[in-house]
Amino acid sequence: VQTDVHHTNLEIVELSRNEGHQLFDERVQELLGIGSDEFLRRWDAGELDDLEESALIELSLMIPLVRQDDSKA
Amino acid sequence: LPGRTPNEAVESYTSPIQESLGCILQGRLTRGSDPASPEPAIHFLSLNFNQPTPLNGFPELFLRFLQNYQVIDTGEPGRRRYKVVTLGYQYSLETTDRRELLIYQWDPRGTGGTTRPHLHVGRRLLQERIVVGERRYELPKFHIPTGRVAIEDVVRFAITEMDVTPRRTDWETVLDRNQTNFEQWKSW
Repeated sequence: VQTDVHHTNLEIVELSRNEGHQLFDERVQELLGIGSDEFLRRWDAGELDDLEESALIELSLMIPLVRQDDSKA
Repeated sequence: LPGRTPNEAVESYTSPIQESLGCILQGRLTRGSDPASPEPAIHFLSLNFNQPTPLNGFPELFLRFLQNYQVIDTGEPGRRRYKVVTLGYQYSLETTDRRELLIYQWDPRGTGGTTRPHLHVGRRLLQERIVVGERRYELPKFHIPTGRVAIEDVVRFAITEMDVTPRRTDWETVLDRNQTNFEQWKSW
């Protein structure tokens, strides 16, 4: 249903440090079945070539939730 | 997008995204970064905690939205002092069973094999392999070149090409305004 009432803008939710870590942990577990520490180890070692590209990019975009990724800055 | 302060720059960056996405879906934008990161930190922005979000009037079609951005100090005085730059994105249109139809990606690190913005067409839309002469292609693996894609492009595509029902009657005006503003300030 269309509306002319312009209250359609999305709200912003600021993630706390713990929430950010939790979101990252859960998504890594869901996509790879491993913990986030292990994911980051494999990321740093370049051992994730077999992962589907959309999953790899998604997780790479989430890394700033848990640490600064120097290669992107 | 500029601002006198980092917060003002972030506000001028995220407000159009909030408005544009609000044309076709309900939800929240999730924003965060590691507080221990040195400045300028890289920030994560996603839709509904990274979950696929159903589009208005089309509950079988979902959007997933992720970005990284960073606030930079331009050194210029006044309202152009700080600016937000996008550092990568992934926007995907997905079906109920989480199969991706279209995936717009840009990761300048080349995580997926290319540093340039591109599009993947999902397996659902294409045969997995086609044969041309003696060559066999897997089209879903192609990085089909695109320009840099604004989220307004994706929202407009969802409405005009995929029959998603807009949530406001002035959606064209909103998207055109926000995209024009984005293109005025984008860095490349």
